[in-house]
Amino acid sequence: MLAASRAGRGLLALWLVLPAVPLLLWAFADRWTYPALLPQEWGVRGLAEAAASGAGGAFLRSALLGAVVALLATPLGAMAGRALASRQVPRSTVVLAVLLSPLVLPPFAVALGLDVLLLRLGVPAALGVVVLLVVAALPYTTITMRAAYAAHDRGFEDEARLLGATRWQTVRSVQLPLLAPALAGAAFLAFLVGWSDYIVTVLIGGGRLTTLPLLVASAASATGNDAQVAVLSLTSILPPVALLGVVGLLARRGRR
Amino acid sequence: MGLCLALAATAAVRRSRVLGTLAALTVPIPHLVGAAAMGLLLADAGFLSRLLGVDPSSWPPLVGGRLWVAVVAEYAWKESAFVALVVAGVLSSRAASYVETAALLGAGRWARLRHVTLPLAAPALGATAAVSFVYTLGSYEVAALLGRAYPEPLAVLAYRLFTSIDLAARPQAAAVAVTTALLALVVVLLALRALRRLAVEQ
Repeated sequence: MLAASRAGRGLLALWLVLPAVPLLLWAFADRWTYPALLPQEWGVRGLAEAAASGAGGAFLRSALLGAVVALLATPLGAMAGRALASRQVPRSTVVLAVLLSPLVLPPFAVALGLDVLLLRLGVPAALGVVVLLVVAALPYTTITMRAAYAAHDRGFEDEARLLGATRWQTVRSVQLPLLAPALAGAAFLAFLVGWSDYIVTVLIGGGRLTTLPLLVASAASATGNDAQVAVLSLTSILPPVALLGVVGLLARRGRR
Repeated sequence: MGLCLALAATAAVRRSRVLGTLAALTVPIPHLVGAAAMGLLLADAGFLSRLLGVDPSSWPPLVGGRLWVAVVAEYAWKESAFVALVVAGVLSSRAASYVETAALLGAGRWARLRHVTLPLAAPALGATAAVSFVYTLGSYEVAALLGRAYPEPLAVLAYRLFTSIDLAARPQAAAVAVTTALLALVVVLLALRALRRLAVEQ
């Protein structure tokens, strides 16, 4: 029984880890021909190629896109979540359904439909991408913040107001500290939407906004540059994983 | 896979923290990166064929082949981690006390799994399965990178028609987009109905 359970867990761990192994090996392989199991020559050729393909600028643009989406979608989701949790919204099921509808609507269909409209209205491409991605991120921030506000005790705010705190002071020194873990979680999810989007950036951005996923896609669809693909892929994984660690720390501190 | 991961990550005996952490780390990986990784793993001179010592000429066409193995593997890999996190979240907050009570009342391992753990996990499992379906249906990049040119899934078809030089193809692209959205909507509504029925039964 113990052996079977151990083998099962080993297989599950392998299932999760195996796809990442060739990425890690290829990222530092200068030469790795078939049928060698490990690279014959290690080096940083992939890194140099990735840098030459404009990975630095794309990294910054992706980070900025993710940050802007998070900065806009988190407060919007928090306000929607607070209103929905307060049970004072008429027809709240309909409001929630509208806010969550981007989960159901395929992003390519929305982008494809709005592309013509945005062009006619003369909206700049980057702005169009941000707006669409904020809408795509709203379901995640709304769900997270609605759950947080449902568990949040408004008595603390009433008490602070009673003791003479202004409305803004109550938000800053009572609500924000109490909801910091949930806000960090919501912001992380919204960042991910902006950071990892491909299809909206391609369709609305029209190729003028080169983000990291666009570089990964163009490198991966060519052949013979596996080291570059691996470096670009690892570069796309590290920031979200690091942020996940920060969010986890915040959540643990919030529980104490 | 997601259910197995969730069960291992929340088991009362020998709970595996490592699997929970690994699943949490898999969720934020962009799908496009997952597709690139699956390409390096499953292509005919990829890591798996080297690992198993199979010659590229006799390696099955997993990437771009008729069975879409690499595309399915990528979505199954990423979504299993998502399913695992959500189901494990539900199980860890609710299952322990029920499982203990059932054990005290003399239920064996399988009886506890069948009559306590699985019914508790079912709503979250159903909801995440529906979300995975709808996400995969509307997703473009993985099938575009790892799939074959023909036949193509709806998202790839719509993108090809939309970006084609032939302007008459634009309405066709819009028709494909509307079809996909309607299909997703129908599946979500059916899933919601099934989940509501499940909640009434419990």
